[in-house]
Amino acid sequence: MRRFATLVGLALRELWLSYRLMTILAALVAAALPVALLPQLPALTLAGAPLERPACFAAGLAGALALVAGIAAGTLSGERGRGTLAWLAVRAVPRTTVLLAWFGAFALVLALGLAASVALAASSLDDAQVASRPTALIAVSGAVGAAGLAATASGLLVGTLLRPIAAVLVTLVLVGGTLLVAALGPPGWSPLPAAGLAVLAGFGDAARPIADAARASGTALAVAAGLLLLASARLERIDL
Amino acid sequence: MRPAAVEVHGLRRSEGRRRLLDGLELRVSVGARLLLVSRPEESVSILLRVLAGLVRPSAGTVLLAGLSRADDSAAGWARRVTYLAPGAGIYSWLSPNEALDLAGRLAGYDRAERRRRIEAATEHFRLGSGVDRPISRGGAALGQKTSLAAAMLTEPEVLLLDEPLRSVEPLERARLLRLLGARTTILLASRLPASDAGLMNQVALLRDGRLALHAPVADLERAGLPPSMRGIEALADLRAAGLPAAAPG
Repeated sequence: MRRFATLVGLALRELWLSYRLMTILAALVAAALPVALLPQLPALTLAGAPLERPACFAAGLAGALALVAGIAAGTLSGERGRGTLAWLAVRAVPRTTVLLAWFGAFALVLALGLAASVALAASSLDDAQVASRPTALIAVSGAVGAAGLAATASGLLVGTLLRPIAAVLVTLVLVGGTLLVAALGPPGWSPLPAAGLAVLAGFGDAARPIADAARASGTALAVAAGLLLLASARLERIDL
Repeated sequence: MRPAAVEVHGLRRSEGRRRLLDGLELRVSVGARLLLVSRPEESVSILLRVLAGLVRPSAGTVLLAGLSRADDSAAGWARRVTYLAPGAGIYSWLSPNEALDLAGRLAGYDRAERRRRIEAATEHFRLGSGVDRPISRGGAALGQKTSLAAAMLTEPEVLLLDEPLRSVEPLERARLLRLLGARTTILLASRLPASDAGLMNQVALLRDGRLALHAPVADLERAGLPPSMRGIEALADLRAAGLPAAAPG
């Protein structure tokens, strides 16, 4: 456990010094800015329907989470290429431990950024939507966070497969597309691991937001675990 | 016969269509300092990376210091076997002190033990006044010296060196390589054997993935051959032609 904590600290410092940590936090906070700062959103429509504030926030978060996943992919792929992963592996650090340490570091940054983003956005959403249902907002935020973890795990898996630039691009397209469909797609279309974004997008009208968020969270966490298992299996097999 | 620090049986590994290791058999006794050269040149690098557990062989078995690579315990592999890549491989924003501290933490040493070992390594490897500044500011040479110091922090029994310290000034490089403990078994892969032969006591040549020569370095001098790639290959040809072979170490 002490080794794991050491590696998480190392990963956080690497993210901080390479400005990736600030980029992630900025992207997550920026997702809330249009909702928080503009008294009236531009008259955006989607499939003929006006885009509500929660849906706009969800779309912003989808982009930010895709960026997190892309950075995760580039990071792990870069660690392989630069030899830092090999440096750790020859010190008998299991490759899976390194993978989980990076996942842990991204999860911490994601939690921090998402909390700030939701707090900022919540201040501008209708009182009726938020003040009367704070528990629901927390549950939905958790579901979005879980979707972010699944996205990060996807990025790490792609990072074990491709070189850095290709890994980032592939992740941005695949994960970004999935999350945007969840945030802006028709009801019922959202892929379940990303359904937290759909619940957030329809937050104003949701009849059972807590139940929907719990189901989305569970699925996203299960998918994240599955993807991490695949990434671990792949990482154990590749040459460093 | 002295006990073996490294035993390799039937090792195979290909890159594309090229066979870099083709059923390699190698036995290196404890305390040997073995200079490894090969045709093609990549064979020795891939051998060391297989030994270090970074690359999977397609067949064969490996024992280092009596351990198989499956041992991931900090007290086992991490302290007894280590590998040094041609590049430093350390985060360049770490200072030498931090890199050594990290290596000590990963090896499971407590704070007092880490401090003792880091002070000794800093002095031993002359990491100088810049031990608290990022490695990136000290250049590639500082990175490679730090990487070697980190590798030696645990006083390993087997040290795998792949083209080590090439950015370090030659005299300092020779001094550093001589510093490595007499009880440590060293396998040094080199593309410039003439610059390394004086530091080693055995030489091995891999040709097309098989062991073509394993002899004392002194045999080169006895045969009137230079310690260069050409000399080593000539000695292998002489041995293949039936001249008596002295058993190494």
